[in-house]
Amino acid sequence: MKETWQEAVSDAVRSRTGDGLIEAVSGPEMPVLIIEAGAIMDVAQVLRDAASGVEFRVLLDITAVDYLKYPDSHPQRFAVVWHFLDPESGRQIRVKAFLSGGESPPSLTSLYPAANWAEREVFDMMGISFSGHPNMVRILMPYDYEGNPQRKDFPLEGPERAKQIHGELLGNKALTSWKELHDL
Amino acid sequence: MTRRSDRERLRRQQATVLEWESVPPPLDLYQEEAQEDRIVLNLGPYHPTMHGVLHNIVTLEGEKIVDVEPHIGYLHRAFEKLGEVYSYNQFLNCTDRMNYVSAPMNNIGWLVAVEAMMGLEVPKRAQYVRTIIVELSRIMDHLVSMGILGVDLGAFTGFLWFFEEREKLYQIIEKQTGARLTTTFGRIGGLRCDVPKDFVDDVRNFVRTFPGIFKDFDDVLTRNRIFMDRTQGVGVIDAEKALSYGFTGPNLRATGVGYDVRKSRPYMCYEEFEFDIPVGDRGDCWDRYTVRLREMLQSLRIVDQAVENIPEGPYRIEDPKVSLPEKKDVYTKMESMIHHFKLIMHGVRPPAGEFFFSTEAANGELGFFIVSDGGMNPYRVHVRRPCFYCYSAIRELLVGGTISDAVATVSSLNIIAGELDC
Repeated sequence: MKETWQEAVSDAVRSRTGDGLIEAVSGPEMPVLIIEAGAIMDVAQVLRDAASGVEFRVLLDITAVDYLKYPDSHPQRFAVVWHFLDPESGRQIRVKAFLSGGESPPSLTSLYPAANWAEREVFDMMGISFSGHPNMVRILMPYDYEGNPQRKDFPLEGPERAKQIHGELLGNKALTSWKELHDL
Repeated sequence: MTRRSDRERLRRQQATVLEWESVPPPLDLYQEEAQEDRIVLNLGPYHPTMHGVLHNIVTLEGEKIVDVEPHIGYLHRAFEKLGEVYSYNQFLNCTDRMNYVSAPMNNIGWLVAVEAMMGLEVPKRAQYVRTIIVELSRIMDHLVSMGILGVDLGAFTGFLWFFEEREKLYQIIEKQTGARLTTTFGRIGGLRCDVPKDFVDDVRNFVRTFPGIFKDFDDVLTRNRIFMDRTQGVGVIDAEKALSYGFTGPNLRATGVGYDVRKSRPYMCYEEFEFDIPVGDRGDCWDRYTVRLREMLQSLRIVDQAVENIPEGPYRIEDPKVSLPEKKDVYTKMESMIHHFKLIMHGVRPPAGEFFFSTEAANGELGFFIVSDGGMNPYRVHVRRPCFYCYSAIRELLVGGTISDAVATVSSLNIIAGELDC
């Protein structure tokens, strides 16, 4: 029984998007659809309109992963991850798309208003913008902030981070001591 | 004031012109005046009714809200980034500070997610104690949020009664964890230590006395005419919209959708307990209030069943790769010392891969998305916060209402800034 709805969903997605669906795998806790980033609108439409018999009416979450320092290789540096939920049956599904830094997948705001803030958060933290989003601005960090904190090349702390912040003030020369920073 | 007097003069001039020439004034002049009458009001960042550091820029026409611009992020502490350098047990401290009104629920959400990822079977005794503490903190959360809703609308008495009850719960939790607010309850694989001797008596005592206080609160507030007028038909959202905005938890159930993670995908041992899912029908503030009130009684039912049936046995997994050995063994046995050292220095290591697991927190579905590379720190942690999605519909809820409705609506949604910004 468990296999059936997962197969029904992936078949429905495949018939709608064609090559947009790269792979349908079963994760340890829920099925995972790996798709082309550009096909997310069609995939979400299929999932929401219950073409497969499971009505994923809730967009549970959107996030992104930066695979820059991951030990195993991945097709692209970033992956955007969508989680959908069917509140009737409690079933969840994960949709995942790999993309490079410059790509911008379509926004789901017109289908799910929940995507509005979630996509802004991804934009804020990972620097992945969504095309067609009504208000693609930062949400958690200050509006004039530079950099995307959740990226793996963004340092957590230390002189490297200080240099990044005060790089202009220091005239791009290396920071030798904390005192130097203090004197600015 | 100068603007006001200018406008008065203009109006007088206009009136005289009108009398004189008796032609209707150009329409756009009136529209301009209506625009001018709009007031931009900053609700927050620090405002007593905004429950934490929330910032709403509200455009008012008279008392009517015509536009809302929410700004969040004032309490952003980058827990997701910190999670990448903390070990799995250390990250537990960060989860305390998310929804700080019911910290044990976040702790358990994280622990259950990591345990599910590692495929660990936690002993029954630990499951039962966790269930009791989690359900008590659900009551704790609802006590605060509904008490505060009363305070925001001018009813102070019930709030104080509820705070007395919350104090009893805090004492139960303090005896177990040593902390009141930032509890860091439980560890991966079970609990930090077994429950204190008087735990069962304390909980039984609470289960016995709480319904009386609950009834008092219910009598004084629920059917209060003023309270009903201020909350019924205010901040309405229908089921369709609520689902599309990603509402979960009591806020969704108030619209009539009976979705609860504890029933849909039971975790811990919720399938062993009998309880109902209260639902509302209109999705207004009053429904959100009554759903939470009724949920407290259901939680009390679960606590009652759990506390009467706590099984004996170990309170954590006896696996040296997951839980720390006994302290006396560490000092006397070579093997235990090595296990202790390994666990402290190299941590608990879930298998590589990604995992999403959600639990029912007080405000809705709290999900943790963990990407592991097999190391001691998560490669990436993402928290699906229920508040974040409820609050993103704030424009939908507030526009068209009055400024006093805004206070009731934000309060009834129970937005916790620590969870919102994470």
